[in-house]
Amino acid sequence: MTAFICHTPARPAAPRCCPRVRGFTLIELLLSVTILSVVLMTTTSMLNASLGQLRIAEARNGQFREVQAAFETMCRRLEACEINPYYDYVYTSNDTNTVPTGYKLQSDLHFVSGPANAGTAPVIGSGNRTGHAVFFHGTYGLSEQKEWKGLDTLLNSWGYFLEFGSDDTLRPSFLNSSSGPVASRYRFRLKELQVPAEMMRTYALKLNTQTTRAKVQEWYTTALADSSNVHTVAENIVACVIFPMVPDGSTTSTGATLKPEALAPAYGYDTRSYQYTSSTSGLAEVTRHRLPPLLRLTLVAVDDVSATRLQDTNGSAMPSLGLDGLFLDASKYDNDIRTLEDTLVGQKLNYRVFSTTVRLRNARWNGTY
Amino acid sequence: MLIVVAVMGLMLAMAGTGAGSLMTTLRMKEAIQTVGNAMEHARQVAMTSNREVVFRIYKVTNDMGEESWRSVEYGTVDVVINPDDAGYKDPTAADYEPPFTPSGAPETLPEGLVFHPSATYSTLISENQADLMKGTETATSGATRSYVSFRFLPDGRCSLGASQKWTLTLVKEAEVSGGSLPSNFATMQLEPATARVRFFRP
Repeated sequence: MTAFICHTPARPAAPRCCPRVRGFTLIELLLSVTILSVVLMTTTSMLNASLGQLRIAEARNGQFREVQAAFETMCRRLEACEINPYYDYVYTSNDTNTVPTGYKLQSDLHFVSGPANAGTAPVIGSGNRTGHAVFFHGTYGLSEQKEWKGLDTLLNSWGYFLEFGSDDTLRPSFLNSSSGPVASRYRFRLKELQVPAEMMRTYALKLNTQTTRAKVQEWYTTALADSSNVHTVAENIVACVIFPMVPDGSTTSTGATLKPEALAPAYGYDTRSYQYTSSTSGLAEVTRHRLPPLLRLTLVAVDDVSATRLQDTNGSAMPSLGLDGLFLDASKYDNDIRTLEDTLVGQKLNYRVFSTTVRLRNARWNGTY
Repeated sequence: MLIVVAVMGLMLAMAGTGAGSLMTTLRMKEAIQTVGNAMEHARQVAMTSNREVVFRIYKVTNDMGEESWRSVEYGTVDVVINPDDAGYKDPTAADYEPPFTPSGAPETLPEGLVFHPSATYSTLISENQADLMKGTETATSGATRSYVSFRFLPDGRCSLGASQKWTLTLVKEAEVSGGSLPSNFATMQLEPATARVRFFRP
């Protein structure tokens, strides 16, 4: 008899109970959450930083685009300015019953440029104005009269200057209300004086008979007092330099070479300065009713982020950018620009310098005087 | 464990609300920039082509039949002067409207955003401003929509009076009711003498 012995392989002993599935401990979880938070925080801060950079870049780009447009507007207006000169007899004390003392250039209009509130002959001399200012006339066809619309060659008084102040009066009044959450913006602004044709006082004030500087300037100083004539062209322009120049190769009547700043050594240029200066020779006679042949126009703008920082530090007071004493001597133009740039870099302000030379088409400059 | 999950939930909820308001703010900013850019472009077209450019703001009806100011467009007016030419219309007719040729597709504000209809906050769409031209336009679909318009002039100004401050205020559609200004808004101001736009945000 064959005994079949069946050898079944021994089965491993079944565990007595199921092993416990091991989960994450609290420590592990906390650690992972901490790591996750750190990663998230890093990502957020990176995102924040790049958003900040984007905002700064956008502000700078937008800001400088505005300034560029303002700069071009200013150039276009300036190059078309008019003075309409003519030759006429000159009488002592404007008494036409006497014998004429000369036969000289005359004009009923006026062109004046120079430091707004600084130097010996400030062009405006009041208010929170800085840099240089220019006032002139041109046929820009501006009129608020409905019946006069479309008369594109109406004569207007025009001007540009820099002013520092808040925008409370410039913006809609509901933003200033007690519940209005928009904070005031204290900024440097490039302002444009636009006097509509019907409001122009240049002829009525009889400029040719005036003998003081204040009276000669009255046509634009009274217009400036009326805020409806003054408009903001661009914000955050911290310096405006208007440099009347003579072209290269210009000579005096005796053949001596003229320096570029010969017409306006202290930047000031006034076509009527002969009326209130005692001397009847020199620059006052040379610039008598004559437009400068070239104007070197320079605007220095900062971006809005820098301007906000200036407001944070200075509040409503005009920030000092070291401009006092600069741009009063035309021969030091390049040095003054460098000094200003150093100051702006020193204060960590982002800036851009816009500069061009405008040729005044109505300046009848023949290369000499 | 529960505490950790609760804290994470709280943090997520906070981030969610923050992201929501951030998105609204971004959309509002983008919308006001779009309108500002359209005005800027209209100004440039007027200056470079040496002709007046008409800028229109439309009152649009949505699918629910609600009217709101939310679309802008600019273009030129091309009048046919010769009575023998095609398209000539009699200007003395009572229903005469100068033919308007848009320069491109109208810009419509994103869903949920409108110009505040109050004359205090949006003077540019105010019905009682004499400097604004008002009219209605019939679309190709037959629907009519009203608009206000003004012009950008070739010398870099616009046809609006300088004595007034011209504004458009953008708000969320849901917050318009009541006539007051909600906490979140974007205002743009058009300076008539320079035709430049400035933005204000709280």
